[in-house]
Amino acid sequence: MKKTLTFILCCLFLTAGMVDMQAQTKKNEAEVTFEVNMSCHNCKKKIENSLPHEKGVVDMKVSLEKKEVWLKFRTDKTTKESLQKAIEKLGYTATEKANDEPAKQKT
Amino acid sequence: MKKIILLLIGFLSFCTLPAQHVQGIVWGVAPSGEKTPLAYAAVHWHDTHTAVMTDDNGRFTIPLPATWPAMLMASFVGYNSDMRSVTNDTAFVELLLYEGAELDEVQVTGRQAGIYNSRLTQLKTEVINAAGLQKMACCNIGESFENSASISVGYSDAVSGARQIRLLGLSGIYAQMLEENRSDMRGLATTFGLGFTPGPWLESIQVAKGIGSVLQGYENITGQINLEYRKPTTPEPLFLNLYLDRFARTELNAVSSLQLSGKLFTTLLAHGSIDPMKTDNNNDGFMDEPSKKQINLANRWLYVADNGAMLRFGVKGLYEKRNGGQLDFDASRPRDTTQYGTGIENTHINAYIKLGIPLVDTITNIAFIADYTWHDLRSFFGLKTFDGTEHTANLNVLFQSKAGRQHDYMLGGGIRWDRYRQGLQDVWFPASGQGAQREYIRLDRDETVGGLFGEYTFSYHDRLWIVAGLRADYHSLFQWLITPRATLKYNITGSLILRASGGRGFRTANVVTDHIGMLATGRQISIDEPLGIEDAWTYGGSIAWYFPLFQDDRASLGFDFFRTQFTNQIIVDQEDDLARVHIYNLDGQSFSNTWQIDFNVAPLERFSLMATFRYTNAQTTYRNNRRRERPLNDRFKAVLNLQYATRMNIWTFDFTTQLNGQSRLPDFAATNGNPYSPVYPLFFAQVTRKFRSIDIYIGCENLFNYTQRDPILLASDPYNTGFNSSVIWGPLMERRIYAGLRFTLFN
Repeated sequence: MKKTLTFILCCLFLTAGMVDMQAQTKKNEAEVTFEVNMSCHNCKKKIENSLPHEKGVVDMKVSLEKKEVWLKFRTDKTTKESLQKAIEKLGYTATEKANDEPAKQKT
Repeated sequence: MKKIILLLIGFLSFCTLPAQHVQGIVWGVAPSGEKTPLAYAAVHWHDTHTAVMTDDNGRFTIPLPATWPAMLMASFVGYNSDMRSVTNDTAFVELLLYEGAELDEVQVTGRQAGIYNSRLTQLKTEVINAAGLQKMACCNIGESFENSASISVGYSDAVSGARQIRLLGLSGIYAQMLEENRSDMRGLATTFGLGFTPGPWLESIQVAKGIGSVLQGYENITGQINLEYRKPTTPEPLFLNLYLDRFARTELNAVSSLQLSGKLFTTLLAHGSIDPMKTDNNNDGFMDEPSKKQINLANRWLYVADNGAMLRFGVKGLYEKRNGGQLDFDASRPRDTTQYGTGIENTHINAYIKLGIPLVDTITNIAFIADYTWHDLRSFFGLKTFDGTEHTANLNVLFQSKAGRQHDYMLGGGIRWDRYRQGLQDVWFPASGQGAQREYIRLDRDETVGGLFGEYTFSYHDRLWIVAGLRADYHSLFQWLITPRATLKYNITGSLILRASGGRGFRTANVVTDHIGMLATGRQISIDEPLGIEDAWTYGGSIAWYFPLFQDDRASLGFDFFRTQFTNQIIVDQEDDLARVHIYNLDGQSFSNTWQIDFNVAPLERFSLMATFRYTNAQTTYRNNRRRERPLNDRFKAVLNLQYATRMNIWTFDFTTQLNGQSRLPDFAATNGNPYSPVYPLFFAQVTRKFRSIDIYIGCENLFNYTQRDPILLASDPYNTGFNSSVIWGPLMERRIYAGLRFTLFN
């Protein structure tokens, strides 16, 4: 019983640690922050439901408070422009924000 | 000349502005009632992307909407949102945002926790949010508490499949079920009620521990479990959930939220399930769980009028049928002693209407709430038959306002009418071999209760809240019932919260349905005296501390203690006399003390850990002054929940383990002189994969296949007085592997 628990805990921590390491930006990855005219939780939900499944997107944070969508993507698979279009396709406006103010905070 | 032209243009554009724009102001309302213009608040037309921000003076100008009338919404962090219906002749819109909507930890950190202790509520409240409801199969609310130590879930007996919860060490009948703050699933619906609300219909569940507000009546004793449904204003025209498990239980849930106009919103909810398989894994000849089928439909409406008045109404209807007992039981044959079967049919209809009207300055509100419930229960357990019908009608009026800076008050009155028609055909076979004995017990009851109530809230600088409430009800059977209640919440610092509450509660027992498990025995049911109203005091408190740990800036540690002390309780005693179940009023002490400690942390991004431990000491005085630990009540429960999600929650892994403490076994069930059931662990795991609009999940309950062996005493002879299937302390079902999918269509 104790052994099983310890084993499961160790596995979880290891997996978490490994995935966290992967979270660091790789060579062919880039980041972009868009200002998006979201106004409610449902808009956030809609973006969170759709954008992760766009080709090349590897990470995303959405801040309703700051009206920002931060994306990390693979430059060999997509471009900022196609990501902007993907947001616009959902019915929002998306304007790229300057690099110095990424929205990568907890949402 | 230029200046004049410019001025003229400016003047003209100012004049024409109202034709193309709507103007207004957003006020922030402090807890003291003070109104100040709120700068930088977001204002937008509901269900559109047209949004603007208020200026330094709280004023805004927003382009006209596409259609009239339209809903204008304002929101700002730390304030409650406001929504107004606007028509094309509205000159100026005022929106009021009330301060105090601190963000709860889930919204702030985006942590994965599906269950958390709210910082905001007056009472210690566990919130199971949408993520929590998706952590496990959660087919219905009875199955959504596996992550919670506050609530223990078990079965009332081994044949009916009725799920029971325990809160604060006492049966779930002492906790009040609320549907969006309106009393629900009481009376005859209590027994199987946990299975009557499908989990996928819900947005969240709040479990408030301890005595609550006087507003919802005197019936809550150990706490309130409030169910929040998916909202009609959510632009999700279709949500579907399909579930299947290894026992062939199949479920389909569908929810559709439609915005019919800027003012009228509706949600349609549907559920159909079938649990057809007859399994008998312990080879006692009895099905481990009854086969069942359920159909459940609801329709809820919201209408928002121009003046801010809100009308909510809805209707719900349910039919459920379950059959259990011996595997070879044939329901088409006349019931006799050659076979033992159970059949339970529930039909339930509920309709409600709620009207809230803002008066004068919108700080004052008046509300009317009315509802009607019809519940019909037909059942048999072997040769015993129980049938019951309930009609309940409720009407409440509520007036809410502020007096000065720190004082809120609420006054109201209500009337409730209950009509119960219940009959128990008891059949038993005495050990003396006299053959079948029969008795018909009528349990008809009409109750009319009229009451007045008031509640006063003193709030001091967003740090201290004291709520004092009192209600006086006149009960047609038990005369005056006086219910005093008080709660206190003190934010000692921004990260240390102290809460305390205490008060009284009452409850009229429906003795057969409250203890349905006693029908699944071979004994005579004996109601020894006229039964009084159950009367109890609950008091307790909690302390919660929030602190940074690892990368988590809101890890939390909480401790709480509650005590419920009965003045009168209905005792169902199976231990005094082995041939009868005796039912009588409490004569002596009966109490339950519960201690609990909770710890929550998200040590890594997207990884969360929740650990909680609860200890209970519940004792009751039985006849002949025997004070005993309440039987079949787990002494402790420890829960550890781990959740990890990959980036963007594409994959989510959930793991829960419980350690369930020993329960005292009734004397007649104690084996080898051991009066306690064993301590046992349970494991649950689930993996969810998100695709665009679709989530697919696969999971397992009772991973290591732990079950209570031989849950039915004397299963070989169901018409013997020693036959008893109500001694349940552990899981009846083996490992359950399940899979499901959720589909959401966004508007």
